[in-house]
Amino acid sequence: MTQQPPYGSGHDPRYGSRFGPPPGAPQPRPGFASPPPSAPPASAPERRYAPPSAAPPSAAPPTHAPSPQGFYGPATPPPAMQQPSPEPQQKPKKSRRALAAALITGGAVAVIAVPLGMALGWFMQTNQYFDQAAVEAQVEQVLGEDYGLAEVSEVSCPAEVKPEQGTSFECTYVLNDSTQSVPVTVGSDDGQLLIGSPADEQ
Amino acid sequence: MRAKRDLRLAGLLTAVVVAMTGCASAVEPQGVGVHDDVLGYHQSATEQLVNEDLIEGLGLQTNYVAVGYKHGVASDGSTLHVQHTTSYVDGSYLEREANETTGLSIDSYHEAGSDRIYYLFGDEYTEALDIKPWGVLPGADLDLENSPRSVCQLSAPNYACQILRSWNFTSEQLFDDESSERMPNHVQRNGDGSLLLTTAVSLSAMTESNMFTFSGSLAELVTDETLTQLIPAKIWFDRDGVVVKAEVNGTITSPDSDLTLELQIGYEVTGTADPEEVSVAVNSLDDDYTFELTDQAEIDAFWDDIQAVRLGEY
Repeated sequence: MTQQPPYGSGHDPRYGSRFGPPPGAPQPRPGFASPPPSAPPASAPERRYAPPSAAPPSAAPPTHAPSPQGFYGPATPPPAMQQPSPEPQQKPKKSRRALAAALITGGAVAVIAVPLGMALGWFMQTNQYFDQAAVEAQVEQVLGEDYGLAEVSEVSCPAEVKPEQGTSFECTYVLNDSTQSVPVTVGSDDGQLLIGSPADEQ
Repeated sequence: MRAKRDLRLAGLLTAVVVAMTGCASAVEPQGVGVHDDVLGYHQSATEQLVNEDLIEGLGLQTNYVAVGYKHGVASDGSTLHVQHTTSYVDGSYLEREANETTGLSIDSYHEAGSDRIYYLFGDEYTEALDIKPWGVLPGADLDLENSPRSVCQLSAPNYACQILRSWNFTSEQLFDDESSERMPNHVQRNGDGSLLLTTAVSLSAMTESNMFTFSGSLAELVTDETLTQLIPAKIWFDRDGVVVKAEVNGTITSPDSDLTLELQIGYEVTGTADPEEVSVAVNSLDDDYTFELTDQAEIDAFWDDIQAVRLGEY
């Protein structure tokens, strides 16, 4: 049955293509079709821009120093065998003073260190920022992989963006000699960036 | 002694401050595209790309060589292999066909300003219809400057028209059927302004746009479910939004019959045409090799016969 209209009928072809073995034609040759085009290049490996490793927290100050073993101090004489004393040995007054001084010093350290540590914790929390270069790299990657903007350049995002959920900012990039922008929102405090639809240049 | 201890304490606290300040490091970001934004972006970009202006963009080109091809292999042994090349220069065009069956080709030539089209018919037609190889039929200029959509009457560009029409049909089908999957559209924009649309067309849309017909035992294997299957398609645009290449390429496995269908159907602009090449010395054709038809009814009957020979029904 002819489904193709004859020549002259608008945009339709003059004669059709039938998918099937034409009568009298040689046997079909399976596998003659051109091979499919090669698969697209695999996605670029995820680029990670790790921030510099955080320095390990300083060790707490030692509560006591090891006993000096002396080359320079007087050698401790080996204990001599003594007859038990009929009266208990009294502690010297100097040791009590040292103990009191140590307690006072320790208390002073605690009074200073605890609020200081809390203050520093707050400082660290409120002064964390995204690595700007890493943000720009992520934006470029998402523009390419998700939005199909394969060859953007000069991606620029603001510096000192805090990883606070809901924070929004814009990044700019150049494509086809035109500067465009893309909205970015911080999706979570742990660093997720939600990259919105870029401005349509068409 | 006490002074030394205080000094050590101060030093220790300073070290703590310095170390903890150093811990205020940068946060590593993890970027993701907003799902709905990504879908909406590609849908919007696709709708702007694939519209009626596309065909007009094809028609306004003044000099090109383009090729259109259809290759199909079915698991029952049926095949389809045909290729058309169109060389076009300012209203003059020369078209050549390569068919898997020797003798079934039809070449054509039109000179700008002429009111005729010259056809060179293969042996299958001359023998079956007892005609001379050269046929002269009425054919005015396509006047593409004023009616660019007429470009679909040219053989190779017609492949692009059929692919675009298939995309439109598929889009309508998926839009009408809310239960079906969403049209898979992805637009890639390159730095030089060119674009690539990665999408899909359904088998039914391809037949609806007259890309090909199924016949014989193959037609029985093509079930309704088979016709709903999608095949990957890509359309390449230059920086002006003109289609320079389009291809449907993939394999369909029927969900309810023993049919596998490999298809590769495409269109591509391969270069510019040399005016010398788009010229045939038709004035020197010997009358012994030429026939002419002028009556419209006679012309219509003639094309019906040509089609019958082509389909093996004559």
